[in-house]
Amino acid sequence: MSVMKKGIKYIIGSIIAGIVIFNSLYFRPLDEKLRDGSKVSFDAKSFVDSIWTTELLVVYDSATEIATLIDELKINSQSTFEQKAQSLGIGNIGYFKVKGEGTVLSVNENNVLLQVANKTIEIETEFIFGNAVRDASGLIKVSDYDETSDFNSISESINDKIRKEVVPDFRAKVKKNDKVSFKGALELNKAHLHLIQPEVVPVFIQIIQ
Amino acid sequence: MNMINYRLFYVALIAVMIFSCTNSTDQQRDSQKKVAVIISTLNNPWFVVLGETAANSAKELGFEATIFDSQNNTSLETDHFENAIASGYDAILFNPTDADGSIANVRMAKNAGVPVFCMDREINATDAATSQILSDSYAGCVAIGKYFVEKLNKKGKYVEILGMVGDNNTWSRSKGFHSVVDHYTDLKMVAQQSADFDRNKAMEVMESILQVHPDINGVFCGNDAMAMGVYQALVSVGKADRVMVFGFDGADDVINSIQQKKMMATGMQFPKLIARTAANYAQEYFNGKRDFAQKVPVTVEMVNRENVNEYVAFGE
Repeated sequence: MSVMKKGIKYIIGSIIAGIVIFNSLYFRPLDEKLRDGSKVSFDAKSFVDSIWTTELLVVYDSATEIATLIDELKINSQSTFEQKAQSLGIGNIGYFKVKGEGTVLSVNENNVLLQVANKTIEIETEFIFGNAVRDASGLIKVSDYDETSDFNSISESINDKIRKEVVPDFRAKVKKNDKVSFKGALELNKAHLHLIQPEVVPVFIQIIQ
Repeated sequence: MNMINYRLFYVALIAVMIFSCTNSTDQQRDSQKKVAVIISTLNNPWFVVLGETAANSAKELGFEATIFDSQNNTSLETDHFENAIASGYDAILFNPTDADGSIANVRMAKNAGVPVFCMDREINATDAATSQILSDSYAGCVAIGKYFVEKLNKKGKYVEILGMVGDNNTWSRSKGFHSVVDHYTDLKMVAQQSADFDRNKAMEVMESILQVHPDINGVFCGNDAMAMGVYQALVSVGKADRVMVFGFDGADDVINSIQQKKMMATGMQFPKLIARTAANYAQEYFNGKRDFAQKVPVTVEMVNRENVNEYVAFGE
C-alpha cells in the first residue's frame, strides 16, 4: 500500500515538475528573434502625416536660394556652415534647406539635372534615402526620442512620402527644357566639400512651364 | 619683550608655512581626478583606438586614467564598475557590452554619484548615463546601402553578416542598410547571420554560407573586422574578385583594402573624436556643468573607392 502511495506521489511530482519545466522554457527560431530586434512601436507614418503640411513644408518656405548658397560656400564655407547648416551632433556633415527655379537639362534613370543660374543641380528621384529632409528642417531632435530607432523611422517615413507623393507625378511629366520650381534638402560635408552638381532631395517640385 | 615677540612671530610663520604645504598637497591630491575607461573589448583595433584615445585625452586634461577591458562580458563589466566605484574613480568613460545588460552598471555608478559618459554604443535608457556620444550608424549605413545598390546595379544575391544581437549598433546598421536595399526587389538576401563583430567567426560563417550559396554578388558586414574575415573566406575559395564586400568602422586594414581595390566601402566612424568628446564632457562635469544632451550623434562618413584618398584610418 505504501509502495503504491509512493508511486502516486512520484507520478504527481513528475507531472508538476513537467508542467513547471514546460512553462519555464520555450524555443524560438533565430530569424524570429532577429525580426523582433527590428520592430518599431512608434507610428512614424502618422507622425509625419501630421506635420507634413503644417510644419515641415512651412519651414522649407524659408529655404536659401541654392545658387546663392553655393556662392556663399565657395567664399566662406565655415561661416556659411555655422549660419545655415543644421546638424544633430558632432561631425562634418551639415544639412541645408534650399530652393530654386531652373531648366531641365536631362531626365535620367536616377535623377533630373537642372540648370539653376550658372549651376548644375541634381534633383534626386530614385535614391531618396537618409536624413537630409528631416535634419535640414531643424524640427525634430534626437533627444525627444528614447529609442533611436524611432527617430530613424521618421526619416524613413518622410522619404517614403516623397517617393510616393512628391516624385511620381513630376517624373511622369517632366521633359527636357521644362522650367521647374523646387524646395528640398542638401547634404554637404564641410571637410570634404564638393559643390559640383549638388544633390537635392525634394520636398516639393513642380513644372511651372 | 621684543625677543619674545620675534620668537612668537617666527613660530607662527613656520606653523602657517607647514599648514599651507599640507593643505596644498591635499588640494593637489583632491584635484587629480580619476577617470575609468571601461571598454567592451580590446580584441578589436577600433575599440583599442577608442579606449587609448579616451585615456590619453583624460591624462592630457590632467586626470589619472585607467583602461578596463570587459572582454564582451557584461559580468566582467559589472566587476569593473564595482571596482571603479570602490576605488574612488570620479567619472567613467564607457563603451557598453550590451544595450540592455549594461543599464544596471550605469545605474550603479549613477547611484554612487559617478557620472558615466557612453561612447559609441548606446544603452536602452535615457535616465542613467550623463550623456551618450554615439556614432550615427543608421545614417552611415544608409549611405553604404545606396552605394551597394548602385554598385550591384540594383540586382543580385547578397549576404548580410550581423554584429552582436544585443548591441543597438547592430540593428541601427542593419536597418539603415535595409532602409535602402529592401526597395529593390531584384536584390535578394540569401543569408543573414551573426558573427558577433568577430573576424574569425565571420570567416567561419562565410565559409559555411558559401557552400550553400556560391553565387553571391555582395556581402554587407556590420563592422570592418567581420568584413576582413569575410574577405579572407572569399580569397580561400577564389571568389574575392567577384564578390563585393562592404564593411563599417573605417579601420586601417579595410581602408588599405579599399585603396587596393579589394573591398568596396566602409562607414568611417571617428573613435578619436568620440573619445576626446567624452573626456572633455568629464572635465566639464567636474567644472560644474550638468545639462548635457542625453544623446549626441557623431556623423559617419562613407569611404569608397572614389574618395578613399581623402581619408585616413579611424578618422582624425
